[in-house]
Amino acid sequence: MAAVTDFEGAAQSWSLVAFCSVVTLTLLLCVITGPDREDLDEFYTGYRFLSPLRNGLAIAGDYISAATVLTVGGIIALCGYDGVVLALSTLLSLLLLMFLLAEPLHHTGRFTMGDVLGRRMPGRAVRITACVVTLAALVPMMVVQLAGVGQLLAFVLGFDDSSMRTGCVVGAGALMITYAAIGGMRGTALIQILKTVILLGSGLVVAALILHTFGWSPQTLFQSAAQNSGAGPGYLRYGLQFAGGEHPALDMVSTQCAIVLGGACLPHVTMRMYTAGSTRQVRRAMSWAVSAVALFMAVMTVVAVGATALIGGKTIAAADARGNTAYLLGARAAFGADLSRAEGLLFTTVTTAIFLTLLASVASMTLACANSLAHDVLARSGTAPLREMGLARLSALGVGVPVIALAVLAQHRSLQPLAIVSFCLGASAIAPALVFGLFWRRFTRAGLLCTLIGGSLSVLVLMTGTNLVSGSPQSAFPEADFNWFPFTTTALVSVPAGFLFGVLGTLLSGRRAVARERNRYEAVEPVLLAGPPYPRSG
Amino acid sequence: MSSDSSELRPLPHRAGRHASAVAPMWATGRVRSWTGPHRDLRLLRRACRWQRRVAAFAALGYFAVFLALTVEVPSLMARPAPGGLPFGLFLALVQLPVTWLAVVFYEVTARRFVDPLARRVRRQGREGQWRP
Repeated sequence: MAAVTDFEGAAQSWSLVAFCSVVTLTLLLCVITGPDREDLDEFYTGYRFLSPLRNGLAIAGDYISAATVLTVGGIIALCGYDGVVLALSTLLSLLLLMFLLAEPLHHTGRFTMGDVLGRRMPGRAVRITACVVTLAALVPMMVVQLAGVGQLLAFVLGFDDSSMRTGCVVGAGALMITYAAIGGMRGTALIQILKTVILLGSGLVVAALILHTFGWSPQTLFQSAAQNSGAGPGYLRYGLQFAGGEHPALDMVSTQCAIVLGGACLPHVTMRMYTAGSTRQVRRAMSWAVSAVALFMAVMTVVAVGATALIGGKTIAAADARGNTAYLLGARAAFGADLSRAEGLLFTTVTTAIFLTLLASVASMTLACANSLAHDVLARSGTAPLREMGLARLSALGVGVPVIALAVLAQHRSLQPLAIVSFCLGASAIAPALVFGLFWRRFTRAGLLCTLIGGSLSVLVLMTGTNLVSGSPQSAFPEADFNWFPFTTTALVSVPAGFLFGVLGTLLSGRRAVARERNRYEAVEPVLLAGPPYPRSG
Repeated sequence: MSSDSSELRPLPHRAGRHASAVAPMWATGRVRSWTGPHRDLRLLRRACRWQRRVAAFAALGYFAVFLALTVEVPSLMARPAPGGLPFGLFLALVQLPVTWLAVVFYEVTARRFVDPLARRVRRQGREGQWRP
């Protein structure tokens, strides 16, 4: 068994070489494809240059963050059925984005979420609140991913030194700022496409190898995983993930709700809706994105379940208590004990894909934050394009440096609550604001502000009391116990609260405001439903 | 999600409109009719709404039923299904091909029912029929 989980020798040097070449190559891509004219459209949307297939791969790349690959992979490997349901809700979230929001977002938005909301309800308060919520939703996710870079490199390259880890986090942080500031939307889109292709390609090969080992029978694969997991038939049923909680059923529903509603509403995913040229292109791009994500979820399920079937649940839990390394362990185990040169190269491709995933997702999130900060808050209507672009680049630095500092400080704690905060903010503040803002004709400015602020506050307040923050050895503060909200996520309360705040805010703002908003909505409606009369493509 | 009062009340006058900053339709000298731009917008609105509702409720509905069965009737989900896997896992794996079918369905209906109307409304927007 030891040989299978070992990353010694040739695999390590291959990985180091591959990581360095990936960094060089992506930096080169960013410099070459970065905006070559001082044009705002080009920096923020990449001039809508992407064909639907490429745009779809970029959306899928944005959507499959490293946190998704590592966390969901771990839960599938350790908890079986519960993890598969989590993977499905991740996919469903993107499907709902395609069905409900993608086209209206494309029609009404220009560069940021503030543009979408500000079209109906102009005013600085709306834009500033949208920017604050964007930052609040994405910064925790970026911290999780950056800290993950340190863990991944320590695991793959085999060092335990704490200062080396910190060095890795700072280095990756500097890279992400560079990608966002130099490459803009176009540069990060190319990196995302590269990442999706490598991740899917290498994943498919590994999944095929694992299925081949089990005679191409999913039944044999799942049965042997259940045998080796230590949980027996319970591995193929619901209940392992939340077994320790007080209300496992409600906890499960709450978690799925947060993922389904929040996952695809996060601003780094929705910002890609603005980069398509026409309605038809955005629809086609989303079809490709959903297909790519569905394929990846299938691949991830096979690899993670294969990891448990091949090396056993205990070994996976020993490498990382949450199973975050399960995807890599599964890929390593698929090649058997001794690596031939070709197998070593293939395995290196898998580790490189994960490394690239980490880099690319933080870069996109930095870009989403920086764009929102520059476009919604710092730039006024009269700001020159050149100056606004400078502001956007400075904002990337301004967002990136505190994130690096936070990641360095938090890297030794459990970071799961931070990822959950992101998804819950997406589900409780951003999702109601977008749904009401785009489809409810009586929705007022006060209602919008209530949704954004009330939804966010309810998440942040409730989160302090959850299981993940304190009260158990695996929580972020294991030494303390102030667990007053006995769930893993806050969605059960905060999502209805977010929607309710919007309704109450609208009802309390009076008939005059409601009538005014209804008229404004009627003026915007043809654009919202049919798209702008003059396509904006350059 | 949005309540469409225009279909229920075709009369141009509405209480509360006098207070608005945007001039009401009767003041601009145009009358809401059953043909022309308003009719197209109304049809487009209805088509979009039906398409979104059916697609979203189908996708969410399947998942909600699946989740409810998982949580409430674990014994049913543990029974063996065709292929030898437990029924719950079988339903979960079936969701992947169903997703692809849903995407194809959405693309086809959008192209067939929504796009022609949207094109017409956009053309009217270019011809200035929406903003007097």
